Amino acid sequence: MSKRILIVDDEADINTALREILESNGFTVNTFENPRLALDNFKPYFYDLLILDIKMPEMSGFSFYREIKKLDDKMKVCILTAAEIKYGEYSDILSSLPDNCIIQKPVTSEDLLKIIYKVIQCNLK
Amino acid sequence: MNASHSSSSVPESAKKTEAYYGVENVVNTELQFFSNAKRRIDACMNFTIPSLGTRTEQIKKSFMNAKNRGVKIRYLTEITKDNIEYCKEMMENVDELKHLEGIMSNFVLSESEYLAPVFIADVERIAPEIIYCNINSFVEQQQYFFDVLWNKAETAEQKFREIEAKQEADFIEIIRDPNKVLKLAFDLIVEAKEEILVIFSTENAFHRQTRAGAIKLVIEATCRGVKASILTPFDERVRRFVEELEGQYDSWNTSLDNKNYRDDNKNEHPGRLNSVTKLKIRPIEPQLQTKISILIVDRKYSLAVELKDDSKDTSDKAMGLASYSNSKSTVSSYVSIFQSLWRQLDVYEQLKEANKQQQILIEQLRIHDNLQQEFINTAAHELRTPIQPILGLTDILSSKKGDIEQYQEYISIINRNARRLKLLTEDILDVAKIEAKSLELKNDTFDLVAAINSLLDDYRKDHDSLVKKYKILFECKFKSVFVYGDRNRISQVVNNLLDNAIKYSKHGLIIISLSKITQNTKKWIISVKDDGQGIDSQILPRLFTKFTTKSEHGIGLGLFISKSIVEAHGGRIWAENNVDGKGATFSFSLPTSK
Repeated sequence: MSKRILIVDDEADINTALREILESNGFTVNTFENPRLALDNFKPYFYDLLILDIKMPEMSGFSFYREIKKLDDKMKVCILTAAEIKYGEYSDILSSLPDNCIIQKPVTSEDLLKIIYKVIQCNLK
Repeated sequence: MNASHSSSSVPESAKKTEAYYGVENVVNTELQFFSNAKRRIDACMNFTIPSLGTRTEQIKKSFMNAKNRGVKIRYLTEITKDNIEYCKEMMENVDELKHLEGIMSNFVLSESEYLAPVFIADVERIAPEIIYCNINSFVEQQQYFFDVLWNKAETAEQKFREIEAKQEADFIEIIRDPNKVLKLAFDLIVEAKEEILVIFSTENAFHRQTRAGAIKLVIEATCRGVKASILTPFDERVRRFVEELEGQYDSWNTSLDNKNYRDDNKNEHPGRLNSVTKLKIRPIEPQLQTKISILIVDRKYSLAVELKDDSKDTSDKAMGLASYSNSKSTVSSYVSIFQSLWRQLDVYEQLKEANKQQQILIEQLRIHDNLQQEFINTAAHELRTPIQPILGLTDILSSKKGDIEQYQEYISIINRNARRLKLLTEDILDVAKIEAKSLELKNDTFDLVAAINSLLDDYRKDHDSLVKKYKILFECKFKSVFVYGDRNRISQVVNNLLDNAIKYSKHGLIIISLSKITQNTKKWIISVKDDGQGIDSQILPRLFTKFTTKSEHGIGLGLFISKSIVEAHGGRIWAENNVDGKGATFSFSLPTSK
């Protein structure tokens, strides 16, 4: 059974690109641009990995993270952000996340896959 | 001037009245007069002359010679505390010297001659002009006049005693009776002519003296023109007192200015208001507290009172020993203590102000630093985001084979994001140019109506999906409006305002309008009105500064660039929330021509 990945990022073009990369590598992918919609439609213990943007209107990635962990504490989470990680609130909050998987945008397909395989400990190809 | 009169008692040829000019002539005439005198010389001189007479060697000698020849010399002047020593010296060269209060006449008589030096008022030097007369009848008249004055005068010895009695010796007096101290303090304040300086040991000492009435007396003194300064520890009551006093002085000054002061209003004022000098009260810092209160009056008298028990309500119970002095060294020591405390407060105030400025500077630097960090964060986000789809999709495309048509969606995503990067790069470069003051305008006369219409056509084409959600209207009564400027840059401003309107409205109506403020004005106003969420009140004051944005997308440079472009055209840009509470309107003005 292929691994399931949920992507929450307000940039539709990024979702399209990531979906294409991941699906062509054997993952099952669901994407949401609106974090609230993602929460409303969330199926607990269904996904193996969540790829989460931080800077989003409506709801920040941090708030989303807290809510989703209440619903599913097993799912792995990778933060995928374009923000400058070493500055300000990001560095503090990011380093406090237990999963501690932070990917800096832009990331090449190759590097992204390497990280994902490592996090969910699988190698589909 | 020269004039001659005749008299029967002297030979016709010798009778004369003359005026002589110039110091040399004046002195020679005087010396001749002294040597001519045979029996008596009567001199009537104002208070400045005794010093001149004793300091001018020739005149002094003339007096001595005349006296030695047996001429009887009487000298009438006003003896004052300032000329007393000269008068005493003068007494050695005359037979008799007398004092007449306020005498201002200057003349000298012998048995046959009359001399009147014409002095310049209050200037102590040899007269530049002298009048001489030897007409017997005139000399006799003046003799009569002198005798009248002489008889009214008091003896020099009597006057010397009087003056010397007033010139007290230095004293330092210890006073143990608090009531006596209080009365003395009141008397000193009431008699103050120029200056009152006070240091209070505690704020309670200030309150006690306020209740006892001393402060009121000081205020009254200031209304006589006496300068008064008080140093005291401050508490809330002292602070309030100072504020109220400030208000009172203002109202007194107003009444002075209006010249409404009348005697029957006297009770409203602490005294006659000729020239009010404000009582200055300054706080002594708690660490400067002293255990004695000091009163210094006219820099002549000091009264230093020990504090025995500050908890008492009345001065008589609170005060201990007092030392009262007129000794120059004691008084001047107290004055310098007062002055150094007063100046210390100046320095302290300057230091406080410098600290305040430093804090403001630190705060500004902190804000600047935060803004920079915020910018780096935002810029990083905005620059990296469009690269992600480009990078991802080019990876995908490079692995694909077959007809490119089926990947059209990917190509448009790549294209869109590359354009987004382009716009961002241009904005950052524009800011760099603005800051380097190298933003160049390609100015020409162009039709603003055509430019806005063309911009809207392009906008609709480029933002097909977006535009469907919004209704964008362009309202303009004119077919064409010619302005002088950089068409592309002005279009960039309108474009920025339109982008913002769309970004902050959901599904609304956006109205672009072009109008003149009035018929005669030479400025055009371009406005972009939306019905979105309006401008956040926190953002409003710095709306047109760099990196100001409330959006999750955007770098906060658009309005800064727009402002710079508009101002480079000699226009102005502004924004306001709409009066109906829905959305905001951004406007800018442009001059009609060069």
